[in-house]
Amino acid sequence: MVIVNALVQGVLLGGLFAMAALGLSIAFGILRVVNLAHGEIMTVGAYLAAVALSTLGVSVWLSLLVVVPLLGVVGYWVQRLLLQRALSLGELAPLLVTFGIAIIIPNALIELFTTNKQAIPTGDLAVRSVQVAEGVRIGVLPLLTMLVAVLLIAGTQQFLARTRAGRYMRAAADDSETLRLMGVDHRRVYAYAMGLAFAIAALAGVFFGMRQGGVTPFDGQLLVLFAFEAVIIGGLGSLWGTLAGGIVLGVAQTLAGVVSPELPLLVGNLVFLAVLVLRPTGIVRSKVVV
Amino acid sequence: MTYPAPFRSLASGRRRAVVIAASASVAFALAACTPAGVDDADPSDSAAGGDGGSGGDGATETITIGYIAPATGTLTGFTDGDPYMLSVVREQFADGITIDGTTYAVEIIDRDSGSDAAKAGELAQELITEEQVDLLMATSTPETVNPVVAQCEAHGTPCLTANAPWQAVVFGGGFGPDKPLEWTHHFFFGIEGFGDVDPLAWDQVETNKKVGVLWPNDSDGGAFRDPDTGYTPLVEAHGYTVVDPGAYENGTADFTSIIQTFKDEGVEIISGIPIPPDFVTFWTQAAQQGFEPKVATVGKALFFPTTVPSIPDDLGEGLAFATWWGPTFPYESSFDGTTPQEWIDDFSASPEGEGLVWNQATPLNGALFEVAKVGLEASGDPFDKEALVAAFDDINMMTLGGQIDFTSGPFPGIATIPTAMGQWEKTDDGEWEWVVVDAGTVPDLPVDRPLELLEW
Repeated sequence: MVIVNALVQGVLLGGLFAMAALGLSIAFGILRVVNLAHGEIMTVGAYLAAVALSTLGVSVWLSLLVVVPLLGVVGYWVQRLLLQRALSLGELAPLLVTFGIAIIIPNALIELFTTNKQAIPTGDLAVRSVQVAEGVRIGVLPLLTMLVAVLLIAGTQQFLARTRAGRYMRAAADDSETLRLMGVDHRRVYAYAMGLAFAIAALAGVFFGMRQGGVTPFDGQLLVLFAFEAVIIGGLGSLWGTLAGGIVLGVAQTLAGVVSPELPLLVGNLVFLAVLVLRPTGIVRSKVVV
Repeated sequence: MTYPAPFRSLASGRRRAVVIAASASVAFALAACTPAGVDDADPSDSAAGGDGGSGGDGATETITIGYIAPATGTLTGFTDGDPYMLSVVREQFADGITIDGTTYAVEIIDRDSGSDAAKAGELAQELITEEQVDLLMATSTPETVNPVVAQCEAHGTPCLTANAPWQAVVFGGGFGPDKPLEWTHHFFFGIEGFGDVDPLAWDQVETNKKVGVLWPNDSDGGAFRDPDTGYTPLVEAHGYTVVDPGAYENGTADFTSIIQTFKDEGVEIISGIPIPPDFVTFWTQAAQQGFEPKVATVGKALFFPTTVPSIPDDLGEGLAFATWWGPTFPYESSFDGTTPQEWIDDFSASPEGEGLVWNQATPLNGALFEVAKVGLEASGDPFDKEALVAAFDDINMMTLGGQIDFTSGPFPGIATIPTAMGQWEKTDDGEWEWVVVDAGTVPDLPVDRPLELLEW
């Protein structure tokens, strides 16, 4: 039963990892930009939710309606004003820009809000659980996180596959020159993609904040390593791969925890390394482009 | 009470860079040499010499004091009260200090370590060799204190530090009985501040005396786990058994297996020094999985005043922690007799304190300057480095941060401060506060009420 419980908890943990990884996967798959500030964007999303709550008194769920689109818009303009220009300087320049953003955001948040934790209360949601068998309890919030992650991935997949904007994005990823020849401004397409990545990051950040009961300026760094690993285990640029990668990483960690508490992060990292060495394209047969 | 999370997160920042190093090796080099959270802007140096003492050529000689603290970055929680504290201190030193009839101007140069150990060391070197400080001070966690101490010892500069467990400064810095601190004085408590005081609180309630501990795989966790000098022998002396599930990593996202171990062993008391996010994860999962201990005395995570109120569903109610400073502590400033309650009131009313909650670290940072003043006065000649260090050896004084006694410490150059036990509660009007439930080793500390069991 201990093993079963660890498996269940690991799968649910994978949902959180996958949600955090999705935005990264989009940014990399379409724009070829490794967004080092991804964790910090999540943090900002959680802060906005916390502020909406403390100043306007709106619930977390309601604040999502504003926070997610807002960061989408921010992502659009960050891409257009910063990253697009950096792209013209060379392939590494955007990476350095995101690295700079990753340093600026936490310190700006400290200036604005101090290091004190900003609460994101959700009543008893975070601690409620359902007993599914003797010794196996499923937390309601982790389950919800998993469901949202799955819906999000399915939704994004459909968006990219079926809508005109989605097709543009895939085209921009494949061959932006040709896309331009067809009369589409590839810069706008890139910007929309980054907006999408930011919006999803914000959502993931809010869910992480709910899990932690709040947010502090450096929280993003805690999760983003796992997000990177989930992306790579699942296969760069593959959307369902992020879910698979998240679950593999989550289960690896919880199962290792059963053996010994020293092991979870080590085993998680070893699994990641093993995938990188043995199957660098990831466990899901990845289309290099989304 | 150190908080090495920042170091962890810095490290993970690097590892994060490693992850993508496959595609961009430059990032790693950058991550390695530009730590997150570093603010390169120089903080203000403000000369406090009110009488216009202008360095060497003026009539008044100037004593230069360097102060290195993590003003930005992940350790900021330790120093967010410093702007107010420094304004109070600079006012105290505005007219200089008088030593053996001679008045000296005092210049305080404060520098920001950016919560980075390497930067702290560089700053120390710069202050020593370029600013030629007469006394160097550092505060808040071994990550800030140890590199500064190392520079002072290497250059032979008088050094005064606080706010880091003394074992981490002495043993962690490579010092010991064979290699004493020659130029450094440090005050704070160590593992005994937890291990001697936690059992006093547990004794107040009926339990099976089984203590489950959360000791992460970091320098603090290692020090607590040490079978000879760690936490276990201290609480075993009171008849408690320690259940140590093992050295989990900071940033562990799932505590299922640890909770299972505690359940299997029938643990009724929780203790340890987890970082704040880990403790919230642990405590939330414990509730989800039906693990309901009777008492929890947790260090480090509960140091920050906003951790407990943020734990979901008011599960922070009744959490206890070893504390070294609070409004009712019987301390007073050697500057002007300010008591803790007055300090908190003044801080809350000051422009610097707006939007902040007082914390326990600031008064000790301020005590550095109180001790410095008394030491300088006793030295006879503030520019005689050996006389200044010798003067600190004899200090036994009351400060806002507590009694600092270098004459009877556990190790030469070390003064320990006592600790008590606080417990969090939610007041009737929905505010969170903690009250003293055991005076611990603090003399004359009034106890508000006995320890209460956790309610599930």
